[in-house]
Amino acid sequence: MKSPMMADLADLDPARDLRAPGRPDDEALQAILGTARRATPIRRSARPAVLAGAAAAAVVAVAGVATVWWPASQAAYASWTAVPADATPAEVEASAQACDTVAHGIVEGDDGPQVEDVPISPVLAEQRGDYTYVLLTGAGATGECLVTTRASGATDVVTGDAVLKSAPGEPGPRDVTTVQSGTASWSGGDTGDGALTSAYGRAGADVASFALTTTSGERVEATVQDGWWAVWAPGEASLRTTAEVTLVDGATVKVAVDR
Amino acid sequence: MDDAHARELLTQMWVEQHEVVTRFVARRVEAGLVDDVVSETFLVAWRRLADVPDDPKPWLLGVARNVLATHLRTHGRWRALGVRLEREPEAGTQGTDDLAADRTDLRRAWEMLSDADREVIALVAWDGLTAVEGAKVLGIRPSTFSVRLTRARKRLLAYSGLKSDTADVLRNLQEAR
Repeated sequence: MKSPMMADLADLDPARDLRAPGRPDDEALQAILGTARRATPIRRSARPAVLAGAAAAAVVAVAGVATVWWPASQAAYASWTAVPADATPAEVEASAQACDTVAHGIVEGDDGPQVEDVPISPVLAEQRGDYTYVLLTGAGATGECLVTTRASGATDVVTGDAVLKSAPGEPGPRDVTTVQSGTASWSGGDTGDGALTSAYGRAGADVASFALTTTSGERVEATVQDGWWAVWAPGEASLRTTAEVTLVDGATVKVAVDR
Repeated sequence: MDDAHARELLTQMWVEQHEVVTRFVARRVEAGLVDDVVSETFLVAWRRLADVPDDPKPWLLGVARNVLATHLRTHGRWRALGVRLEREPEAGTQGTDDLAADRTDLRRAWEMLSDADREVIALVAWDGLTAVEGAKVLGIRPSTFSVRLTRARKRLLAYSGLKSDTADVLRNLQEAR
């Protein structure tokens, strides 16, 4: 039986008066039945998994996701560290098994929208406290995966993935580009850790290290591995958009980490 | 599965589940996107008929959620989808009786919840799912769903009991972050 509060909430249902019965002769149904039943594989031109660049980043905007201040969650991500530890190969492998290795997208095909599954595989992994973060990429697609193991031994996994709409360019040796930046919610599992902010992109060959600052002023080191960089921090919109890049020759440059 | 059987199955699914899926989507996205998302959801079902379980509702809603996520990703949403609330009544029509006051408290409390909390509550209160079905939609264990639902309900209850000026201060603090 529903509680009185849940019953009251039913009155606020935006769709409570919506009626949309499906009929066998609906045009939309006929359009679907007219398409090939088996998904047509999307053929992509052979190109490296280069995803960064202003054009690619432009398709991903950052939204302000409402975050609730809640006393019980102040210990959220308590083990998080501003300096990441490289994940060991065994950890990467274990985490990657928990991560979704397919990015999903809907693309317009010749016969209407098609579901596009793009395989992705790990390119970067780091450890911050109890959390393993894995960045996965494929042909024109990316995925993020955050894995933690609770005291009970159960594993909580949060993933996000994106199929990018435009072909990005490779950064110059001293450049850093952003593929995605924004706030996500820890909505999987029951740890209740709440929102986090993550950002990732491509790093040129001469980029040695990369640091951002949280809105509370704490310096956070990003992980740079194999031409990719990634960083995350607890909280909503918790990372400032200016980063300091240190190059292999010791020079430092400021770059904007933007959507 | 031959084509005739497949067409029959999808048509039956459309007739039985179209309204459920449409309402699910309409709660989470602006009106202009609803038909597209619903069509894409059934298109996925058509392409993956062999994967559709005997009880297709949670599966379809899970697919609809993924399709929505794809649409909304361009706005930076990740996983937890915002669930909209019925439009607030015009000033003057709300009345001052206890029921209207309770409704206002609940509305305010709802707006203070996280997207993740709203999602589990909406799956039960609006989409009418059980914990087992809701867990299938989110791809988590039923026990996990139940824990999250309990916590979300507690928060909703706590927020709805806040004095309005306290709630306003809290909300302003959140917006300033």
